[in-house]
Amino acid sequence: MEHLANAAHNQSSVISRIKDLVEKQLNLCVSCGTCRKSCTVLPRLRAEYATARGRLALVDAFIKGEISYSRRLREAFEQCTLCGFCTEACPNHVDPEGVLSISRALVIKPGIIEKGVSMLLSHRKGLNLTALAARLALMLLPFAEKWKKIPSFIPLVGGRIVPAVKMPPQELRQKTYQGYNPRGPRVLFFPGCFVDYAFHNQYLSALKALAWICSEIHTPRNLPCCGLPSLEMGDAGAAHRQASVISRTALELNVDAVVVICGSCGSMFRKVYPLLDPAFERFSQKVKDISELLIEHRNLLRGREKKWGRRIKVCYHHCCHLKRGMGVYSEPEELIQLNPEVEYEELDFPDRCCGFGGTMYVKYASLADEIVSDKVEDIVKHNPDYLALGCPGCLMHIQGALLSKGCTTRCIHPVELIA
Amino acid sequence: MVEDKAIAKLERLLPAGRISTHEVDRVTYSYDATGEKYMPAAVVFPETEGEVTEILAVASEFKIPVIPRGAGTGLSGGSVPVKAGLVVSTERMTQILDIDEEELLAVVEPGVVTGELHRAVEARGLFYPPDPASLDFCTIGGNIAENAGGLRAVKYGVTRDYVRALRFALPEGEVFSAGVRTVKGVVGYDLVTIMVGSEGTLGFITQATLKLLPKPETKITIAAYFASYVSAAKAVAGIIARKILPATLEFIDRQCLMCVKEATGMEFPEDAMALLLIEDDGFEEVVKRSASAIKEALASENALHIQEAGDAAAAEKLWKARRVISPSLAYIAPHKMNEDVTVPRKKLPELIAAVEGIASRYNVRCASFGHAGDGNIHVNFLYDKRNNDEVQRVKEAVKALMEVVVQLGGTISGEHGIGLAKKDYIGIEIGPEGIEIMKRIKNAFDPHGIMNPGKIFPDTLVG
Repeated sequence: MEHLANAAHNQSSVISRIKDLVEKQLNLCVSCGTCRKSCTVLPRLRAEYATARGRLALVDAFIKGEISYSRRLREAFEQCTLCGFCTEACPNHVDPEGVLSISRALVIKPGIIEKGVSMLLSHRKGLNLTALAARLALMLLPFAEKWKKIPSFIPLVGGRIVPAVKMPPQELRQKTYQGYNPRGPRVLFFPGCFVDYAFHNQYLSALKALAWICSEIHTPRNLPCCGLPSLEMGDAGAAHRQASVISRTALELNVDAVVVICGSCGSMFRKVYPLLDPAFERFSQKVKDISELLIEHRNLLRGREKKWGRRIKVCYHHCCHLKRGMGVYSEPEELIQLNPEVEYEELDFPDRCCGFGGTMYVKYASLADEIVSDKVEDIVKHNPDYLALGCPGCLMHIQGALLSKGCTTRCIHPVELIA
Repeated sequence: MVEDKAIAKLERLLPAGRISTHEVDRVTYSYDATGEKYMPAAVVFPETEGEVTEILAVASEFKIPVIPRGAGTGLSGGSVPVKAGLVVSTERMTQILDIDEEELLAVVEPGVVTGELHRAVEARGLFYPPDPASLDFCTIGGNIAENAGGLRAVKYGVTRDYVRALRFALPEGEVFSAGVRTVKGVVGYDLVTIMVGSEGTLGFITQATLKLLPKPETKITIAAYFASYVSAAKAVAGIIARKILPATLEFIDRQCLMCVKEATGMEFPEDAMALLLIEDDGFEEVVKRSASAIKEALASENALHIQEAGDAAAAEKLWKARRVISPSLAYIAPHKMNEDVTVPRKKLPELIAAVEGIASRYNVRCASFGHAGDGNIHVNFLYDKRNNDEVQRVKEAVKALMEVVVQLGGTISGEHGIGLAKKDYIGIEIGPEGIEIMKRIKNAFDPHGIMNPGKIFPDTLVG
């Protein structure tokens, strides 16, 4: 009982903090409309609710009690990829992307399903259980070994091509790994759910590369999800609880850096955690994308780069949460080009959003697909062997779309080109 | 409710998904860039001219207001539904129908974003000069309705100078086609000119035929800092006196520079009180000559520092500074009265001195920038809405400014339109006779007064 009361108190203090923060930002918005110019979804939805300015007006009206919960209000917030172009465009330094992600906690009332999912994501056992269920469901499906096509009669995600889910093999279940560089940093490596349960090649490459430069790599097996999905579903309390566990673990281990391989986990850690609670600031400052850490120590990578035995053509997609969320954009490109066998070619629109957006991918499939089709067109035009990108969510969406088009380009993480 | 009946009828007549009465849409179509908010009864998203005429016919039948809206980026409240009714958005009428390279014309639907038209015609070596600061997100329909200006107006003129023909729906639901595709045409009254700048109070523009120019071969961008406002204003006169008419000639005062610095991190000389930003375009040889004449004029007014942008990226950086000014004034105070007064060029020094006088007389914060080359200066009175006393002082300052501008032989609105923001001052410039004749024109187009009511004319004189 006491635990529940604490949780309720926790939830309401998170909400009131979010409210304060949002109100401050709302005061800065002069509704000039500049955010209309680069919005990912506006050209498809063609209505003001799809703009940052419109959504801020909705939050404002909601806080003032002028409007109430509704399905449309919820959709207005869910039909956003949180790409952050509005934040980049705003001349007044409003951060609509940040405001809109935390505002979901105000305007979306999580239903029983969302609460349930959030609960599963909040505990390691829940994550394992979810992964196991997904694995069993996907095992029934033929297609390739690594990618599965969900039958079209399944609601929401039917017709999508998704990665096969696997429990991490024994070699990835250690709690710590020793690095080869005794003077190197001690790090906590947070693989994130996708890499933990599907993209094990990324996990292996990351451990290999980190071993070259680190003294110790901690991979605690008891951490929950980063909290972004819970926040997207409007459950800020759950997101805060997940953040507390992760940040406490990292601080207790007293590591030099918390390394992520997923831009979305990374931007949640670096940018959103301090918005949820200033107490997470200390943790947030330790967070690094793996490409940042590797480029810092690039001299240790030299000569060790993976040998492909042939020239490979590579393009790079800037994931929104990595580029605009974390502010990381030059390091991954540098990392890719460290491999002398890589022939690097820039996409026409390398930082255009792919349309994944988490809830968007699940609940608004046709919108997400419409957006990714522009990305696919750009990739097909350049036709690289590999598309490198730093967020497994985008990877799943883009690879799925490429496969369904019959394209041979394969999506990988930049670190897989090196280690 | 009569509005409910009209909405129900429209729901029957229009294809599904064209009309919404949900509060999510009513809230998000309640404002423009002025910060005024009024909720409409419904928002309509027509996709064709036929649908527009149906909407207008029903609105006419039930006598409910119709408020045309482009991107909602106007600065005079033109698209704010002050008397509720139907906000009719052009966001789904976004086709560029034709770009005629022989006749130098573009035919567009009203919802086309101005910057997209720029890119489309420039890809073919053509040029659509009007360039309001919001060009990346404002629409052609809105530009025409407000007769938008822009930075290049000094040399190229304003939106009105580029509208050859219009198709528009009248409130009773009939469609009218005005104007010609040819350079010349004098058949009857010039209805195109009446429609341009009518702020959605006469009819609903459904298609525009726009004049294009050949794209200038090259351009130069020059920035010059001055130690006083007056020397900057004199430098403007000096350039014109040398028989040079640059494409743009922008004035930015110290307060604005400080805001830009805050917003972008750009650095400016310590003692700069004003910045002139000048651009000229044309054939390379011509541009070189005008550049040297411009620099000579700047130097002879003792510019502190003259800087020519070496390449397109450097020029873009300077222009970015110009574009962020308007919204970044929020660094000084949360709210602003953004005026767009315009005076004859030679009266600029007097205007600038008068503005300083008004600011100190009424004890209000003020920042000015704008199109010095055409005498159009954006005087911004900055305030906090929550401070009633300050709000009152700002209102008095605005009125004083309007009076000064008219005395100087200028106009109270160069490019934003009257809308809600300046309707109380329109009489200062055109007097009761002017208002009366405009109302007669309004009556001829819109006998029931359903088109964008509550705009342009002051409340006290409206029946």
